Amino acid sequence: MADNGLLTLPANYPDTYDHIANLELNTPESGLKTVFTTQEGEDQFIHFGEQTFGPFVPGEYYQFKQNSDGAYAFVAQDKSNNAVYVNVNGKNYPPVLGSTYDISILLNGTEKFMYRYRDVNDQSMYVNVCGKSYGPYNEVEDYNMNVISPDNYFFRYNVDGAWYVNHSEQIYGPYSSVYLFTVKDNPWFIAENKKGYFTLINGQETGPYDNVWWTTEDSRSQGTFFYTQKKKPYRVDDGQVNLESDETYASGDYETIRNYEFDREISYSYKTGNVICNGQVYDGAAKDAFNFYLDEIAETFVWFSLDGRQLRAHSLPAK
Amino acid sequence: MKRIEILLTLVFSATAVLAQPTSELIYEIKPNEKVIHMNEHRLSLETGKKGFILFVERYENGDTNQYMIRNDVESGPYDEIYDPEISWNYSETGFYWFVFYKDTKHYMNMNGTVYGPYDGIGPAGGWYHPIIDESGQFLFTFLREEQWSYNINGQEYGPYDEIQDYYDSENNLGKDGKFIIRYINEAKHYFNVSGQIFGPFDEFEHYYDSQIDDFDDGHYVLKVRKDALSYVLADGKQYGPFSGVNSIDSDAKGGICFTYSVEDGSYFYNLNGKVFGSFEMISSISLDPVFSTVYTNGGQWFINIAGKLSGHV
Repeated sequence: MADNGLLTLPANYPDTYDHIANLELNTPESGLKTVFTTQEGEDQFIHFGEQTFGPFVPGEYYQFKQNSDGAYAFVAQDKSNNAVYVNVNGKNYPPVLGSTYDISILLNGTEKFMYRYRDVNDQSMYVNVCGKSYGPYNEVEDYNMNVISPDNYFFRYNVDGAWYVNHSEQIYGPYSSVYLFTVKDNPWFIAENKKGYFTLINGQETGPYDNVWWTTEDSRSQGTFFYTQKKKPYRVDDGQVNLESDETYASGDYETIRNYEFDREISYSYKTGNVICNGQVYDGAAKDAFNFYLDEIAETFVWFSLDGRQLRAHSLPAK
Repeated sequence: MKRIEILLTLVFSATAVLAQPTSELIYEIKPNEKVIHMNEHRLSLETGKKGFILFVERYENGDTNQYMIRNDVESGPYDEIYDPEISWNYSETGFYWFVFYKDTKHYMNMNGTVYGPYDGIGPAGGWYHPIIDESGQFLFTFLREEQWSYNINGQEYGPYDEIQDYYDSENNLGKDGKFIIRYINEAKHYFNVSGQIFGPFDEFEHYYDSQIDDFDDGHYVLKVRKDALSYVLADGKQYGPFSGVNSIDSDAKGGICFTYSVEDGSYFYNLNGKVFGSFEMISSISLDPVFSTVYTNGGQWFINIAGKLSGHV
């Protein structure tokens, strides 16, 4: 144990190495272990807490991921046969084509993992979910892919120029583009093709819509966004669809200020003068208004208006 | 029991009433006026109409003047109010500032105190913009008779031939009036750290290679060069001369470390003022989350974490 009690170096480590690199120091409080690589002659080793992996071929394939629950994964080229393996929690999975750009690993606890890779034989892209591979694909987007359990995983992929979503072997698509995100351990998406916009909400694919939008990425991830269908505007809150004020949202001439601490927002239309706050529509409250802002200390929305030559100040509680 | 139910019904009915926007007249625009800088108007929610701030332009006596109106009190007339900035959470203690021109001179109005006249204001903090920290300390730079100076919390420092020109940084200001500024006079570099002058130096290695991230508590590590040799300035001390200074790190607790080379090509590191070495090469040094370094000696590589060599724990 080191003097400050923060770090433990295994007692069986040799005194010196030919080369040391990739040092990632972690404290026990973080739940993560210290990692570094060493090289002795032509052999590379990975040191992860008390464990040493290797020998590997020194090179460009080094990747290491760990979670605070002890799960780990790395990519390395085996010295015995030169194959590049993805190793998850100590187990080597089938060899992959050795490009660190293609490999993307997601660890979710010690039992659940998924990684994107390029196959050594057909050189297509695949996704391995908890040991089972899916593919071949032309492209797999690793952003927002997720594995909740071996039976609940999702990712988006491209075949022949079209995008699809695979949710536990339920396939959605083809689309020209897909925004995939996780809401309460399930995939939601907003997608587009020639027919219009589509959404996946609580396992139901719906559409086409004229347009779909959200105020912030944070609100979208919480399941709040808007769409228009046959020029009628709707608001989706956690799966519940409500008809919104025609005037405010259909015009597209609106702005929104959100009080994140109290999860309240005010939307207003310069065109109609309507203000919507917490589901309540205040007709004409923003007529000829300007300078909307949130006073964070007073938790109050404030705006001004010019009524003829009268400069008026308006306020509405934001909590 | 029935009375309690009625009472509860009344309570729930009362709480179910949604709040309505409040609206109040705060100013009557005069016939010869128009409002300007509309997105910088503020209302103090503590005092309502008695706590507003707004800007107007007034045509009077054949001339156009601009005013700030705060709580019914006018500041002006000014030839032009330039790019004002008012605290979003405006209150009686909220800050405001703006630059104004009057008779070709520039002035800074900082929370009601006017500084100037100057020939120009900026560029530190961005053109015309002061650097203001959360506690209301401020720093801006100004030009007077073709030389540059700093104004730090109302105190002038200068004049200098040149001043640092990086933008939008609060790293110059620390707690309790601490500050760090850089300037150039007669082609030599100087630092003024809360009144302590370091210099002259021939070169300053850019802030990205130095560490003033933790200057909030007054800690800093700077790399400078003079007569082709390197020096380190750290928390009031000057270290050197060295052939070269390589890696530098500091932490929020005031810890510092840096590596350097000397004339014979060997390397050393300095950890909180204590020197370790010599080494053939030092490849990394860090204080995050504890001290660590990787170095070579006798052709072998060593790793030292928190003062312990690998294999010697």
